[in-house]
Amino acid sequence: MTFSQMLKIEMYKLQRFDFYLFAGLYLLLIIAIPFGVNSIFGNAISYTEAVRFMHLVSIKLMLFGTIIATSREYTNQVNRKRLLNGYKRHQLFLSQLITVGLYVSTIMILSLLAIPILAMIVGGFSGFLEIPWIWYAGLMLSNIAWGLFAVFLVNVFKKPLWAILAYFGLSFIEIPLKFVGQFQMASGGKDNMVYFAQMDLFNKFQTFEELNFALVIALIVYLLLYQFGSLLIIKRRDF
Amino acid sequence: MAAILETKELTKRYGNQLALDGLNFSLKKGQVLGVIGPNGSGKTTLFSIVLGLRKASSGSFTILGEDDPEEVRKRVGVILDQGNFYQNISAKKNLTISAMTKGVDLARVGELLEKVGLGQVGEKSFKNFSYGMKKRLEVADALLAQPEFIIMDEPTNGLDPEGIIFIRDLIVRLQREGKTIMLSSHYLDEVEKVCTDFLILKNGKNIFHGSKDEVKDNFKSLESVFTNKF
Repeated sequence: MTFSQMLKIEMYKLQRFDFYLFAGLYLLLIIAIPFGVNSIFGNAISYTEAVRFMHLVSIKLMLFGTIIATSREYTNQVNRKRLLNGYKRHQLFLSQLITVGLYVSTIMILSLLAIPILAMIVGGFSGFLEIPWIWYAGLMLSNIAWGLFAVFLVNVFKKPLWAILAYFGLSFIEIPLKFVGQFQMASGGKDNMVYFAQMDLFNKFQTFEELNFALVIALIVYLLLYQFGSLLIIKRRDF
Repeated sequence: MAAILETKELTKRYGNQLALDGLNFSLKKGQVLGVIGPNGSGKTTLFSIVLGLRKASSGSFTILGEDDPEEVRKRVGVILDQGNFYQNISAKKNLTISAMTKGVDLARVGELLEKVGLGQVGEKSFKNFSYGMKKRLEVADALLAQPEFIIMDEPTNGLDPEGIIFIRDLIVRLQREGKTIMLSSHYLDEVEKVCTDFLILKNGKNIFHGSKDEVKDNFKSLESVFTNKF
């Protein structure tokens, strides 16, 4: 099966209610909440804060959206059917990466559409031009990171509920690491713990205007390890 | 005659449990092989291994002349006990995804839905299908790429009389078209009606492999094989 055939199939599969819900919910949250808060509390949210909020919403939806989209291939035994229909095991993995790519593309397109609207609501249209390109790159990279991490969780746990519980479990484990890091910083040292709190790293590698390249490299190493793990699981799993 | 499927000392272990124990048999073109045995005898494990869904612990097999089932997938049609389709999308869309995967002309989707009697309900969501309708969709899916070898895991299990007749007629028609079929079932009288050959498994071991005539020569009926051997 060729890559273009796989891409065509994944795009065809997107035409379903839960994907439209994912896209609609994203647009609604990133526009309606800043608009609502500013209407009620009188410009309580600045333009930069609205854009940061957009980032936060996108990664959460990315995580849960990808978990739901990829786990149903396991829960409905569709992965078994796909193998029987001609997919090779590594192509199942590749199709998961394509799904992540399509979800990230959707997030990026909707964000680009929403930013001028947000600019008009909270910051005046000129704010749209003030967003550095590095912020867009960071938004894309952190969404890719969360999507790939979601795929890894699904390949390990298969069922969406277990993958989501694992995410919350890992978040809980990272809390003491963050405290240790903050303590190091407060004592005048460096926050070395940031390299070990992986999920925190997915968002921390970027400030509004710059990327921390050491953290980006650490992030890429983690993502490569997760994808290697995913591929290995798919290659060896009984379907 | 070339073997469509041939196993050599095929063995599968799940931990300490032996699911297939050095299984040897071959299936020739045009044969309809009934694989029978009690629950846990290794039928589904055998099917899963030859389809490449599970790895054998030891031993080997060839399917359509290849030792890797991934290489011959599109030439093998599979009807599983439960339909492995997306629950929330329509039967037609599910079948279209299969057709795109197999590289089959999409016109065959409508054609096959009509053929299996689902033409009127193709837009209905798969999860709203009855068990019999799900099985019919599975049949349509298996026949999409006009396979030369068809594997059916308990094809009549849970079907009403109409569904059982549909599957029985299908097997007879496919055999007339020169297809090779391997199926498992618990319904001995059904299997006896459509199969040309039998493989009887117990605890993962081959305890009988032969033609319908050999069953008659050695035993009175398929049922008596069971009563003598089990």
